[in-house]
Amino acid sequence: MEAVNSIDLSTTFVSFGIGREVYAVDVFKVAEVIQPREVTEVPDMAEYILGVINLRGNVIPVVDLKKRLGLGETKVGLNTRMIVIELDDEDKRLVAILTDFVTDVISFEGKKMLNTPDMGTRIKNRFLHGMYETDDEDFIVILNIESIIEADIDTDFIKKVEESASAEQTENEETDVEELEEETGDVSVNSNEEVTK
Amino acid sequence: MSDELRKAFREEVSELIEEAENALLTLHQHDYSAERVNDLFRTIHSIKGSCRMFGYEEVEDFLHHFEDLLDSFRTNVVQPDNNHVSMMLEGIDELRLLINDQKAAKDRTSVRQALMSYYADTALEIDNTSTESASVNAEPESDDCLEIYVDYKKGTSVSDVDWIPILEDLLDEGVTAIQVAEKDIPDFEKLDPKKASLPLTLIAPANADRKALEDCFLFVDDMLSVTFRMVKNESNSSKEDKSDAKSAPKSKEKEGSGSVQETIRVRSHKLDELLNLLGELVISQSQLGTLAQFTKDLNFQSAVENNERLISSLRESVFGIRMISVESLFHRLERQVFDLNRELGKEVTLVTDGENNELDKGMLEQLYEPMTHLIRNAIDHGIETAEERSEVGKDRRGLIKVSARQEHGEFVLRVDDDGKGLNLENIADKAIQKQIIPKEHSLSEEEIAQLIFHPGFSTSSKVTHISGRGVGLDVVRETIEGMRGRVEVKTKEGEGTTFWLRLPQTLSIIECLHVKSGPQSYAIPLTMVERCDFYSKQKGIERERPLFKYREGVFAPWLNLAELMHGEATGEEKKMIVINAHGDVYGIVVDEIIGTLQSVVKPLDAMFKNVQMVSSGTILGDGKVGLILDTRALLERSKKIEEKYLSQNEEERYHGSSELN
Repeated sequence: MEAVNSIDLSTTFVSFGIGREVYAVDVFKVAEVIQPREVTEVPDMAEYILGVINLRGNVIPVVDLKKRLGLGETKVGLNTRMIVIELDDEDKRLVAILTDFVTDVISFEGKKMLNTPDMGTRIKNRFLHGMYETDDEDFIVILNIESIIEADIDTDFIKKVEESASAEQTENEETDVEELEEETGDVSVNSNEEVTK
Repeated sequence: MSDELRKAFREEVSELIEEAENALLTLHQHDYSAERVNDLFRTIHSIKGSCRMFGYEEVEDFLHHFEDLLDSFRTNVVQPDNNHVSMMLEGIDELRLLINDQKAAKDRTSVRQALMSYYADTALEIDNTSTESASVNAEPESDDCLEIYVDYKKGTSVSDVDWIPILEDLLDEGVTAIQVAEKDIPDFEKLDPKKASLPLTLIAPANADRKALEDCFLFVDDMLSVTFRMVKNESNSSKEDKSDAKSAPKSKEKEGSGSVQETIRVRSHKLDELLNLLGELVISQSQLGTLAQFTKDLNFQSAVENNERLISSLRESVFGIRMISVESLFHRLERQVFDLNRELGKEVTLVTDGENNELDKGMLEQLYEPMTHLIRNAIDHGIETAEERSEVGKDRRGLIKVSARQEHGEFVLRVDDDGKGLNLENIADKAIQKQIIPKEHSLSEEEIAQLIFHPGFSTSSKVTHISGRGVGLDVVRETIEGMRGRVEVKTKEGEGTTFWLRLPQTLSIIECLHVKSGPQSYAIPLTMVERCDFYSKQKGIERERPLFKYREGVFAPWLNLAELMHGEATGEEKKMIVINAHGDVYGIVVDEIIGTLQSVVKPLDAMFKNVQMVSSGTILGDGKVGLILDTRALLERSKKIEEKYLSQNEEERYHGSSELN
């Protein structure tokens, strides 16, 4: 495994869990961590975009990270949290991601970030910066959160054929997961069923 | 000089320069009068004065020549022609550069020299031509007068001439007025104390004894130069204007084209802060209102209501602050049309309408580029040359009409040209070529026309826009849609093209109707709402039949909000809201109507930009997010439904239904 030069990444991260796996994002990208709150659905959007929430007077989108990565669906429980990410663009957009739990702020100072091997993770490499080895010989994968959220603004929006007045949600689900499969290639998801844990 | 001062100076002068430019264009196109020339002269004079105070000597020198030229026009009552105006506009551009970008201006000394010579020469030319024509009219009318121009000859010193006896003689012989020819007094810095100078203009009635007047100067013949000339009546009155103008510079507010208004400069960010706080206040009030519903304390409730009224008024006032009239946009376009006419060899008149309409300052600023682009397109591609036009029987002069209007809560900017229109066939072909639409397309004429906004459609191969894409109509659409607006185009080949730019009036607070469909709250802009009705099967509105009786003999389509948003109806629908969008009627069926809502508009993130039916979000009284619906998008949806239904039930289209009563 080679060492990877991290561009603009600090060595401190916020780690959180999706399913049984632990991921992390650059701490400087995290604006805050909040309790999940009621989401207002916005029509015509991909399934993993749950809708919008009110964050102190600002209306910001919520992404179910689990769904986005094709790993299932987040079920809200006691430990569920929303991580408010401040994106690195000129507008400094805020986007909330729904996660199963949030653990710690971890520092990997002095350690080298490693390349993620092509097998072993179920997420496409461009969504990942790399990974670190923790003290107890586990691996934490650092997510490239911008690429995950920014990736497909247009496929986020489901183009409807304007024949019928009502939305056909099931059609959308299939389209959504299919597209994900196309772009990732190594997602082990079947086109017609969700991954169950 | 401190930076602050310098900045303030620049801002003030920039405004004056704008005024001067507008005055010049107005003078040229609409309203030529001595007064207007005066306005322009005074503005330039003010600028010169300011520049002198702040040490911009080059500008002062430049403007001096400009002033001279204006004075010639003014004194001789001559209207500046196209060339004159063009050269003066160039002067104004140079002036802008001198004020705002001194580095760049440094290299342009020769340009300015050329302009200054032009101004000096033209001024002289005008003076001479007028003098000639004045003296040609040998028969002086009773109101004409004799003008005697006197000044020291070279080499004479001041003490050489004893003026009093001379003036007394002159007065005896009929001189009625003595004026100082101000423009001929050299500037203080340039004054040579050894060279005496006292340019005077003496006025005598036309029938005065010329020989007697000349004799008054007999003894000082070698010391003073004396010129006689006969002046016609109009010049006389312009002289009065001159003296009026000089003696009452303070009354310029009354005569000037602007209105008397005290203004105060405020830094934009202060205003933004104010608006933010106001937005928060409105949300807070909304929460208060919700809570107040649950108390039994009537006093408390009435206090909260009062609060709501006050905040509503406050809201209107504060938003009014940021609204400025579209006048400045129109002026900009006028200048552009003038320049483009010369550049492209066309003859186009710009007519504007509705300049008193106001729009949020930030939004107005964003409109400059798209409007400039549309106008340029219209003149460059749309409107034919004068010859081409007369060949097809059109007026030689092309017409572009720009009008601003408020329409049902939207600000609409409309651009009409009477040029040759869009060639829809070409557009369709090109779109097929670029694979934007399939070969066997079934697009209507309107839809084909809309293709011109498609990115990648741009005809220009030059990439000039900062982002790397060509400046094209796609950028126009993006800019407008970025403000939650829409662009539309209609064309008639051979007759012309019309563009509509529709914008929300402000981006900030809309009065809405708060409705619920299932657990979700929605806000419907109130301006579109005509009335609310009950919805029930008993009224004969069957789900399969998407038309309801709007009024006697008229049926309109309706939509189920829950179905639209989530895919299925709630089953609890009880109310219908009837929307009337300038003549287009449709209904929205919901579960409940909660009440009205002052919705602070919270824009949605970029990822939602393609969602047509929702325009933005708002914070409700209970802290949840409500979605503000886009009634126009819903209208389009309803029209499609109606069309589909009627095409399947042809008989209803023609005969109406007699089942419903």
